[in-house]
Amino acid sequence: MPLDSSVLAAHRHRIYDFSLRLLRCREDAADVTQEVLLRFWQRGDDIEAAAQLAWVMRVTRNACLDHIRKKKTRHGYTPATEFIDDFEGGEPSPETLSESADFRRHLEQAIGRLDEPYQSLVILREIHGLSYDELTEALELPLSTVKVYLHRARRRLRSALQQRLTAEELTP
Amino acid sequence: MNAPLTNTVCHEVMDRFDSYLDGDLDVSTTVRFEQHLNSCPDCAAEHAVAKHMSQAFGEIALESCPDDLYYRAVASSKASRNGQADRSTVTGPRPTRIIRWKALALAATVLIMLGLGSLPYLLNRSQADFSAEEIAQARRDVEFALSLVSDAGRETGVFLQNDILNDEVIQPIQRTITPIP
Repeated sequence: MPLDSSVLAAHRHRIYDFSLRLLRCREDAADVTQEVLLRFWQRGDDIEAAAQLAWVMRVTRNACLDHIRKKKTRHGYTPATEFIDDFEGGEPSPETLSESADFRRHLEQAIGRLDEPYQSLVILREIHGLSYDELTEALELPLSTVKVYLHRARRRLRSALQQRLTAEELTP
Repeated sequence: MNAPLTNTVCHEVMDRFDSYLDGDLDVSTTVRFEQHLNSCPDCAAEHAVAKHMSQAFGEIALESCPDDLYYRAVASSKASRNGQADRSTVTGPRPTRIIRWKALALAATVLIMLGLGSLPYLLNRSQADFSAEEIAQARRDVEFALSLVSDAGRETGVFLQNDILNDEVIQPIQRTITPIP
């Protein structure tokens, strides 16, 4: 039985955001989003409400990785340089805005340079706020592996930021 | 992750950064952790970066899915449910199409197996060498294979008249069996 479109609407931003962060191309992210929304719609009520988020993210990630694989096979894949740049939280002062925006930009670039599954883990945990249980479902990894990989990913991000930013820029 | 710090050394502190930031350490371990941070500039610097990162993660907003993309997807989904998917907007595999091609491939394979298997048999021996039963069986085999291809063609809308299969397999078989009385 197909889903109510309000359920579809509830996940659409997550699907698009996750696709865009993995693919770094709005056109490709749109294609994947449409594909995932269609599959989500068709699977509908087969998926328990509590498991929907992890299911959607798993399908999105697999679709993105397939997309990248196909592109690599066809024309050799070069990751796009586009990255997400819009600040949409609170109303910080202009100084804070520029400093925090700069740090955030470097952070997003560092996330973009992470290999899989580290990249997906960081995006899903830190940006989308998935629980550890949801991460194990979405990435099809055991809990202990999720924790170890996440720890390793955060460490790599800190190291990448330390290489690119001054001590002053690194502190809040 | 929640065992007390036995040796307050840097690598142990680094290993527990995530637990500390998530508030998962017990009180006594947290106290020792913080004592170490106060006395070790390297770990303190690492902690500052981790804290900044954590704060920055919270500031990253999700990219919004464009409305037109969403409504297009919903329209495609509804059309798909009604069997009228707009194929210009639906991406990804089309299962029905794949199943039809599988049917066609199956029929073609049967044809090749039966047809090609019969050809040398039919071509390399004169008609006088065949028993009436062999001729009848060969005819049934080939006609069965041809009917399968014909059914698959109707099902898929893909016909083989101009296909290499037609030129290289069907026509030779038909030519071969036509003279058989």
